[in-house]
Amino acid sequence: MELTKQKRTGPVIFSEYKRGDAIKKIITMTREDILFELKESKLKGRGGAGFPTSTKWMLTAASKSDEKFLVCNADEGEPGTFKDRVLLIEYPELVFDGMVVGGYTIGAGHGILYLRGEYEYLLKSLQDYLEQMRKDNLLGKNILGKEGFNFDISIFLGSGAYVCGEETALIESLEGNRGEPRNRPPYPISTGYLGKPTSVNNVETLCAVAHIVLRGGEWFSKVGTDKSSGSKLFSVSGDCEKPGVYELPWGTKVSELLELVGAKNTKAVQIGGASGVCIPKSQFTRTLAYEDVATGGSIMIFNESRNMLHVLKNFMEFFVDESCGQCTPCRIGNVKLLEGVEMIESGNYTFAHINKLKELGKTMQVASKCGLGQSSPNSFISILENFNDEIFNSANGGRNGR
Amino acid sequence: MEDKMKLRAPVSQKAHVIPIPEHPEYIGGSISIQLNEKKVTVPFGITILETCQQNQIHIPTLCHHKDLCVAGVCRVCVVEVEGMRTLQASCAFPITAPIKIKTTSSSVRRARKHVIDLLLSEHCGECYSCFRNNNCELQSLAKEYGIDHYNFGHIEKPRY
Amino acid sequence: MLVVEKNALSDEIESYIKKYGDDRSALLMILHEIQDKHRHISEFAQQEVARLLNIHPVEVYSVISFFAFLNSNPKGRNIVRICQTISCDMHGKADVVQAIERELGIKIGETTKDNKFTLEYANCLGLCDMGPAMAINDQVYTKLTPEKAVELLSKVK
Repeated sequence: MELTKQKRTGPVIFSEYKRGDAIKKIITMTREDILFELKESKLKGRGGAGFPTSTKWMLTAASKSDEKFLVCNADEGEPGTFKDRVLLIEYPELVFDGMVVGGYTIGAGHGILYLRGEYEYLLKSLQDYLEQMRKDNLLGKNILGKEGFNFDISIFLGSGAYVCGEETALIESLEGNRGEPRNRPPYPISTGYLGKPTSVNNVETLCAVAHIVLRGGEWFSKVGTDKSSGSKLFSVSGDCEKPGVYELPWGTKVSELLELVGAKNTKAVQIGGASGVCIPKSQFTRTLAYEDVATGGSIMIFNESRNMLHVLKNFMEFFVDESCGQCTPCRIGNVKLLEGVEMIESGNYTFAHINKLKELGKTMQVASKCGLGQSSPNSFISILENFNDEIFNSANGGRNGR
Repeated sequence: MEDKMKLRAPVSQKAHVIPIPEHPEYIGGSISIQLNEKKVTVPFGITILETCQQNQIHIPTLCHHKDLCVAGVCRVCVVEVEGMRTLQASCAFPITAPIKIKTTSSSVRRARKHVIDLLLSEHCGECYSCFRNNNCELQSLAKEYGIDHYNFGHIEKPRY
Repeated sequence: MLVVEKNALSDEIESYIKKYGDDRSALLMILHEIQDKHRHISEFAQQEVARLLNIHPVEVYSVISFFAFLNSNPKGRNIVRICQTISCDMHGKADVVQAIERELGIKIGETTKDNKFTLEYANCLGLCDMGPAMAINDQVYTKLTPEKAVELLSKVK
């Protein structure tokens, strides 16, 4: 296996950090100080939705309960995302220190790392790492001698369900149920794991937090753009010379990223994994930021030789497979979209039907119960719109308009 | 209400049941909301569906039943809540803030229509030989929302 | 199933309950342990888990049927999962799958007659930068070529 630590550099997460630094810093700070720094940093959740972390932690800290939980969401099932794997292999100190900081801030006594089943091979080393932290008193009772600061982390192994990346579904599966998303409201910040306030954070968010408490929110907010501060890890895969994880500040142009990774003859870029949007060459000047193209970090590059219909079919098959089957729009809607793609593939389609399916996609985006159904038609709609010409004219023997 | 919480069902299948205050007339016991241009005052924690039923606004439901736990999965009862990006299932949305609700906006009607359409496309119903013909919730919903043909295909054989 | 085997399985499940507690939230971890050891969760095991956790057996089954990595029917001793996501697909997943299928003489979703391998597709193994990827049990192998994949399979016991 070629999963060794490489030399990486970046403005925030891949900058220098020693184990325990953030924990040593926070025991001198109050909770309000940490929340203030986070607010200053304008850090937003890195899972893709972009909810401000300071708000989430403030609400969790404010809710009254004898027990609170901090869950680190390492269930990255999104096709084309592998930044969490890199972080957990190469930077476990950041992840776990971030969890301790979070636990201290919201007043949680217990942290859970939800590791996806596919990453079972990481379990052993992570558990050894936690054991080492306990020995050094970075975990456990009275951390670093601070009275009443108790926090421990356990690792929970998922079982290969994409939908468990959704925070309420993740909590359901932690509780031992089917990983089906819950109705929201209530949000996990008030009623989460075992009915207690729970904060669910992405791995990357927690890594950023460890750096923020160490160097201050102002330093962090200077990186990136106005509305999206800091940097982002991009998992680049597909047709390029140097696939891998890159840390770039928000506001990077797509074309700049493509140049960096050595992509040639690029036709399309899928941003945000299967549930993201696909942009054609003409839109490569767009910037990667919450105000333009928000993303959870997955960048897939397709060159001129790729058939976009094949790509779309692969995505729709993925969603049909991974839909939890609770709500009608997602359960049946995805099947219908896949059928539509198959119709185009075999040439048995009418434009009236394809337009109906696009309308259906728009309904799914607003009427589904959870984020899976709300984002699954994104790729269907964006690929059919942006690659209209290729799919309907050049492919299938030029059926359109003849 | 309390019994519903004790039912042994997955939490995903339960709505957030907030105990309705004993004295809604006291301060903090009720909330003013806007329901289709109409201002109404409702007890804290009541669901949108119950509010609408009390105010003679018809909201179609399929998976909601008073003897079952609230799942909020059929999505026929969706309504628009101002300020929220997505439509909300009215049977599982407790009112805890002064919100504005629209029950018949175009996006709501389109969503309901699509949901019924999708359900029908999976429904191997031979209506004319069915016992419930003309006394069927799905049929009357389809009629109400003007679905007179299968937009998304129709299965020929039952799947079981 | 012999009575002796049943008793052994009961004892085993009880030891897991001791380890993880008898709360419902321990269910998934217990099922994981059983799955790891026996490669499937038999009906009897489901009933035992349900009895010890004080829930209905059908709830245990509902959880097993939801997750891709848990199964109630016996599978082969080694489970081979091939990533079918687009980034692996673009780097020649199809050739690898063809080679493996030819080598083992089974199609995706089937088990070899000697019960040695079960071949499956998986959705994104999180190794998109090193595709095509394959997982044999919990070990992952990256940058596969048809020859390399077949060689890896021949090394598995």
